[in-house]
Amino acid sequence: MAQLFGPSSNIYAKLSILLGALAAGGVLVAVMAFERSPYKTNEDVIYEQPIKFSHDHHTAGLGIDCRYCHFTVERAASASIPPTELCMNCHSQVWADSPMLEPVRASYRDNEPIEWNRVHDLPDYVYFDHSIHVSRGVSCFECHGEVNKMPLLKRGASLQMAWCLDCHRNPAPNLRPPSEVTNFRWEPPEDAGDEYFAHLAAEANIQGQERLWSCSTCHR
Amino acid sequence: MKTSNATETSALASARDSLRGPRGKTVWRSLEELAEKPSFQEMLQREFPRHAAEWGNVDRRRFLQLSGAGLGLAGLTACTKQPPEKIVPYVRQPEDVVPGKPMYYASAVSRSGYAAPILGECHMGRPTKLEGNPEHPASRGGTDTITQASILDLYDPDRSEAITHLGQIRTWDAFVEQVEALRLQHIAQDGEDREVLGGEGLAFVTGNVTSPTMARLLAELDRQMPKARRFAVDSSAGAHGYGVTERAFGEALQTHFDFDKADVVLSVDADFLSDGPAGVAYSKVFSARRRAYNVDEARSMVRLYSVESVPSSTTATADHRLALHPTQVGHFLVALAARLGVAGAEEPEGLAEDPRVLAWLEEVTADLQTHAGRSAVVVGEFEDVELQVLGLAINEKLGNLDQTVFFTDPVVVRAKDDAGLPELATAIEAGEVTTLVLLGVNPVYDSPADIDMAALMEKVALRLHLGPHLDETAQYCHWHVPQSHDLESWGDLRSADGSVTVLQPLVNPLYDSHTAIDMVAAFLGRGDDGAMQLVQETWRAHYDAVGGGEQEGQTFERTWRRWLHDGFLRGTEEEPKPVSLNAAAGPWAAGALAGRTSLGPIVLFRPDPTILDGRYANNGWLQECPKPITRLTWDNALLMNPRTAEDYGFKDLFHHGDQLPKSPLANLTVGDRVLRDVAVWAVPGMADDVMLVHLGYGRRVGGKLADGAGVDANQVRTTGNLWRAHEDVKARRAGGNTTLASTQSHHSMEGRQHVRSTNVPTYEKYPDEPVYIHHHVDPNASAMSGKGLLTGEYQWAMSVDLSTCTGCNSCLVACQAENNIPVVGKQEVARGREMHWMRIDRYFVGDDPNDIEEVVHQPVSCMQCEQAPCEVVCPVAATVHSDEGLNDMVYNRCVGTRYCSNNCPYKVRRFNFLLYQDFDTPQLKLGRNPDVTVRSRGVMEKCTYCVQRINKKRIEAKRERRRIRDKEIVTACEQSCPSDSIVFGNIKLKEGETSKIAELRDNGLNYGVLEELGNRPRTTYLARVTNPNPKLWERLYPDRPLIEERAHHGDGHHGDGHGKGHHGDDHGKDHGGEHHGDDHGAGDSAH
Repeated sequence: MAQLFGPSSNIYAKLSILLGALAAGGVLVAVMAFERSPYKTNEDVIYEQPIKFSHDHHTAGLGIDCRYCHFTVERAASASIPPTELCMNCHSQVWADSPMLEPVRASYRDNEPIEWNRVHDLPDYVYFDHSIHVSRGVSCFECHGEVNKMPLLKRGASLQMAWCLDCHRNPAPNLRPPSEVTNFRWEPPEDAGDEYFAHLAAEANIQGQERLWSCSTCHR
Repeated sequence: MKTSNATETSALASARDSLRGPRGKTVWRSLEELAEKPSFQEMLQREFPRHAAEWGNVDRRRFLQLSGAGLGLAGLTACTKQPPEKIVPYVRQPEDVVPGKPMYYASAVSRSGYAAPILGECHMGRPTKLEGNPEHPASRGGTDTITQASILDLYDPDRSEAITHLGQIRTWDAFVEQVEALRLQHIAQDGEDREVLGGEGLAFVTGNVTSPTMARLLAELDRQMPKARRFAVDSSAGAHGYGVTERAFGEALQTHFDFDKADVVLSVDADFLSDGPAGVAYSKVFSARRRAYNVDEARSMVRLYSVESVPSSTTATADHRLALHPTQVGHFLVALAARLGVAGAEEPEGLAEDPRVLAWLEEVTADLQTHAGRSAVVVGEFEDVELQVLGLAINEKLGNLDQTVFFTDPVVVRAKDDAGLPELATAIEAGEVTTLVLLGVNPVYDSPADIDMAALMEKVALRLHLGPHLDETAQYCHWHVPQSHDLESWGDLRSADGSVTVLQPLVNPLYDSHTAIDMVAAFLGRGDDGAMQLVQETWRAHYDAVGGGEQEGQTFERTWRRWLHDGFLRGTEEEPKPVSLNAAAGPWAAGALAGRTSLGPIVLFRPDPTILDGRYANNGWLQECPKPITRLTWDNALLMNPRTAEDYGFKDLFHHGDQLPKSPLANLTVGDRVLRDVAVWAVPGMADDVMLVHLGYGRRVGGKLADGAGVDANQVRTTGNLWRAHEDVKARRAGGNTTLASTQSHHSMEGRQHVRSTNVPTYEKYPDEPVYIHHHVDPNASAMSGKGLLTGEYQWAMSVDLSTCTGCNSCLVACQAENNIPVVGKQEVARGREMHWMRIDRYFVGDDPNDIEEVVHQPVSCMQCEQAPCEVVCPVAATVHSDEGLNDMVYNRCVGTRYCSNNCPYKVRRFNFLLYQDFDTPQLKLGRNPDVTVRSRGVMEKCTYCVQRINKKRIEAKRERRRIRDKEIVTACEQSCPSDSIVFGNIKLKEGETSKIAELRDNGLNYGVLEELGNRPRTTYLARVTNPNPKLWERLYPDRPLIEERAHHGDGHHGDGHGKGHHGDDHGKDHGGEHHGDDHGAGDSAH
């Protein structure tokens, strides 16, 4: 009986092992790429909102400070989504008849809250605290992206744990003087080197990496 | 022991050797441990009991099906995207509300009608946790188990939700209309000339009333309808309080003890640290006098003697305990009175024949006399009036009145003629009641058997019921009104010291519920006024009369806000009143004590330590909270000591084979009444022939958790024998057995020396090393080396003082509330799967299981070892060390291998074998702490030192650019502890800083459990210091020296042999042999 496998089978066998390994690696790479893709992380995805609220217009255009609306950002874990009443501070006078703002007026009139879709959504087992980040000099824009250039809000970063840790491992380059955290025009001084940022970190009493790395810093 | 145990004697003896502590005392957790059954050994050596790893009722085939499906589908869970979430901001945000920041409101919850002051933590309007109010003069921040758990009642899914009339849903307006029609028959209108009933036939049934507003409304009602009657029933407490002082002093008075002034206390069948409304307040004061951080404090320690039939939480702090039959307890008190020269007391015959009792009588008499004026005799509230009066007479003789014992006007507003349940039954029987209004009481369930309340109810034309559940009584009522939880109500209550707390609602009523104040107001034509207005009226009158304080510009509104803010009204506590003893209070001859003429079988009835008379039966936290001493959950049982159980034919009470442990069933006969199928449970330390069964179980219509658990002891209680039945009492085997879920042997740490203790004389002699160091710990020795030092700015640690811990469980329930710990149910507890992060290990001390010398409690939770054995075995790094010394548990990483638990020497890790959390019931979601992850199935969890509280304070301090102050972070367990036994804090101090915890860790009493393993636990214990009477000790234990000598100090011999299987034996041989050879002989020959 003739040989079932000719001599060339050897090379096919070796190739198929190689291909198998490559395919497995490829699948792994594909899965990891998928995990990091905006499809999975929602980074840069624009969310439908009940009102087409423009951060661009209100901040860059009108110069309203972030903290006018997100008024608990300096003292609480949550930055606060402004109550309808706060919108009405201005919009009872400005654009008071605009059809675009009818949902705001309806909310105020009927005492029914506006339901926004959460854009920056951390997993429930993460306990993020705005106040501590802002008071250390981590700017809003570090995590939320250039909100001042977003007519419609999108997620400014992947918000994945690796992304958090990038900064928690080496926070200094991402710091500002705490007074400048909401200033989207802020630029580090021309001559700012590592020393400048190290000084900011020391000023902010940011403790060693172990503290920022400890699991219970964010998870409990 | 009896002959049947002869074969076990040698086994017992060897077991006892292994359990013998350093001072020759045997220290053990459960009877099985004492007897060292091989099956038990196997069980405790397992990481979890054998059954813990099983899956309930799933057979092999089904298991394979499910696991196959699980394997196939497991990967799919990773394909989900994060579900979209909504943000719903306020329309008009309340001024003080910051989303994510809790707010605290001072209020109180009712504890048998008295105020238990609280600070309620609210997240966005949802109460999530109750803490004690640290400023309150009585409780000083402590709470008891029930107060901690009462928040769960607010979210009880079985609460009734609507007003019903004959089962049909009605509105409050309809109810008020009905009451108004009724009311108009009773009162005269202006200008009308017709016959009015004036309250005839109208009967109100209330619990204990301390509320001044309620009292005001009832007084008003009495004015408008003078013939209306009120009956006060409360089966959760002894009812004799005021009867005692009436007999002793001629007037109803509240009795108070000032333990701060007492040096010697004799407790006679009293559990004053946990029973009653003042338990928390007494614990605070008493524990302060039991604290022995140094020799000076130890010298001035209060000494506690306890003469009792059943061990209790108070026993756990006693220096000497004597278990006596209730008859003898009575005789003992009479004999003591006679020896102290109380007029009218005659020494009973026969009692002093027992040399042990004689020693007690003589030495206690002498000790009390030496400390006349600085001693106190406390007689239990469930004892007969005459004995309690005798207790007061002894106190009077000793000159303790107005010193350690003082009296004030009553806090409870009594019904006219002190009418209670028997009077109510008589009145209904006589046809005098046509309308019955039941306010938050459940007499159909909790009445004694000779009052057939269900039948009596049928004789009343109209029955109205206010209660939190559609319970047994509601079934017999025409109208049912859901009762508001105290956290939903306006109201006012008084603590035992008289301090008034105005109750403010922490949340709007979840349902259409109302308060007792609303109900009574309806009968005054004010049903729509609302409790707030009615309460304010009361206190406006008070303000007008007393004023609000010295400050200028004070108005009622500002004072009112001050009261609400403080959680109590300053200066409302009752003032002590001078008393003089009635000459006619006696005489006391032992033979004349009612029902105390003979020994023999006797059964005691007591409210359950956790669910009381059944009112908390549907509270899962309380049901699952292991009861003090027995460590039983979810059940009541017929408790008796092992010898009595054997005498009555209940053999083999404990065995652990392939099945879950079973307890035999008994029929308890009292006269012609039978309590069927009550499980028998052996409790070491009870007196012979004494049985105890707790009330509150066997509910028929109490809710999903309450129904069917345990048996209803009311079936054999009668009006004449409310707390004790002696005649014709028999317990017979009923055939069959049942599983009781007790946690006493779960998570055992084997026979190592966990509990260390010393006594005052030893402490005085060896102030630097008060406890014989059994294991010499080389601080550098470690099972795991190579780990760097911890770098964190703070290093957290905890200390637990074993001298003051009473094992009350308050910390356990506080932890459960704070950390979203699920309830698992009886079957799961029986399998050893309870989830409590904190457990209270209870150790018995003594050689004879029937007559234990001491009870010691040791709260155990994660020790946060610096070199944690659990961390190195986790394959996914789900448990790792933080730089501040916490053993972090990362739930979202955990894959459930359980290796960590296997490697934990303390057995403090808990695994979610099944989906214990209820993710569906909407009410329960409201009560969860949003700062703590709600864990799901397959995840390991454990104590984290309340890391959410640490983080919160750390962030606050950093924002304010300062260090965290000492005592700024208070863990949930520490906060709730009524005896201040738990101290938490930072041990890494900067120049000039001090901290309580750092001081305590330097204390000579400080030790770490199993510290010889080199794991460096961060939770350490202060060895227990007792203050025995040297003379009594000498007479009771002539072979055992009181002072523990240190002949072999520094002998390197002790260090070895640990980490092997049988260290227990090593200890026994080493120390028993060298130091306490005599005791072995004594201990063995006693059996």
